[in-house]
Amino acid sequence: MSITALSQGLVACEHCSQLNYVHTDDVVACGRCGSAVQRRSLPRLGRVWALLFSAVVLYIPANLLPVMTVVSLGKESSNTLIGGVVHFVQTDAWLLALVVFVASILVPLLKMLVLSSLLFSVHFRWCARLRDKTRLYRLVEFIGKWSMVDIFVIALLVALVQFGEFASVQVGAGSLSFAAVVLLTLWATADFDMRWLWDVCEEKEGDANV
Amino acid sequence: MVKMKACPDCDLLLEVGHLREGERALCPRCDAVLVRGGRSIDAMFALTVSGLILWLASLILPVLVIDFNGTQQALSLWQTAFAMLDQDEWLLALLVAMTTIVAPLIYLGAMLWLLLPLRFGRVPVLVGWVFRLFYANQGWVMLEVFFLSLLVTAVKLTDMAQLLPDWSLLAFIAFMLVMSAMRLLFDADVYWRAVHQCR
Ligand SMILES: [Zn+2]
Ligand SMILES: [Zn+2]
Repeated sequence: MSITALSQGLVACEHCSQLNYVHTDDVVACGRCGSAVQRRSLPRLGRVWALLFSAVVLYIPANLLPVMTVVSLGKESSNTLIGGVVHFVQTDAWLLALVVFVASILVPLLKMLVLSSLLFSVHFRWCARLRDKTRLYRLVEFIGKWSMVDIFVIALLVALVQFGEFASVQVGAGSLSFAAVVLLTLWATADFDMRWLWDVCEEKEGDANV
Repeated sequence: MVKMKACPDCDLLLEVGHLREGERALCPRCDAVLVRGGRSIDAMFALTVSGLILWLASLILPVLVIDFNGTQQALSLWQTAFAMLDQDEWLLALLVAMTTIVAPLIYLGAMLWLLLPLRFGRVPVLVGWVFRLFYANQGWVMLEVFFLSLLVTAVKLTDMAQLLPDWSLLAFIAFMLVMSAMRLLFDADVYWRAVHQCR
């Protein structure tokens, strides 16, 4: 078994990383920055599941509803997320198609898949490949905010293309759902604590040795 | 100087020696970055001041200028966030304003609050509270993502309008780079050691 901070009665402050001695159920103020510090109890998966589930539900309208409508010389055309990618492929803008595909389709899907597999791992104590799972978590943490590309592009188009009857861009209902998906998955990722999985696996290893 | 640290991702208890600037220590069990040799308080202070100046510049100068059949349209960060208000999309407008304007300002303001008193040998008022605000806020800064969106938008518009190069975009790029540098170089340990010396 490895020596973890928890096994020594130490808890790292989440804000300044200072180690503090904490007795079982106490809440103490961090000796360095004053934040509340307490021992990790059982993993609180419920909140993360709730955030993740809301994100999965909103992912459907985000993909089905148009994210924007372009009005050009009296003609209206609605664009969905995947429609934007298809448009770039048709006009041979491959690099752009790839950027938009990764940011708006692949990243949200990957986030939801990785997070749910991590939650299941904690729940069922699946302890294989812990190191790779931790790497996946860090990847999801890193790429999370890049899905915002689509929201920013729509904001820029709305603000730039204001030429009265010649051309304008209207925000579609899908945008708000997509923004919600991005935020909910960001919060779910931040709420999940990778140490939960390491904790339950230490415990499982301990049980096996008895 | 050896210091005990817990890995942020797997909680392994480790001893970390002193790191020079630019060095980092990785967790042997899960590869998480434990500590990064951060910059001095003075370097962070210089970055904060330049960041504040560039924040103001990138707020009012245009980030994109396009020519549409002879009509020119210039767009600043400020206008980008507020254009959505005209279509009553105030939630999205708020999100864009928060991630490109407000969060960077809170970041820089908190940094200034935390660093300025230290230069005069005093501990900042409410240091713990401002430090927590700084940490909670930093995830909302999305300038690099916004920059990628600028590029995507520029290419997207090429068949419809002409894009005019504008020097003021450099102010935004500089702003983005200063903010990224601060995130990489700020070291909570270096900071709290400096606070401790003032007490
Ligand atoms: Zn602390
Ligand atoms: Zn680790």
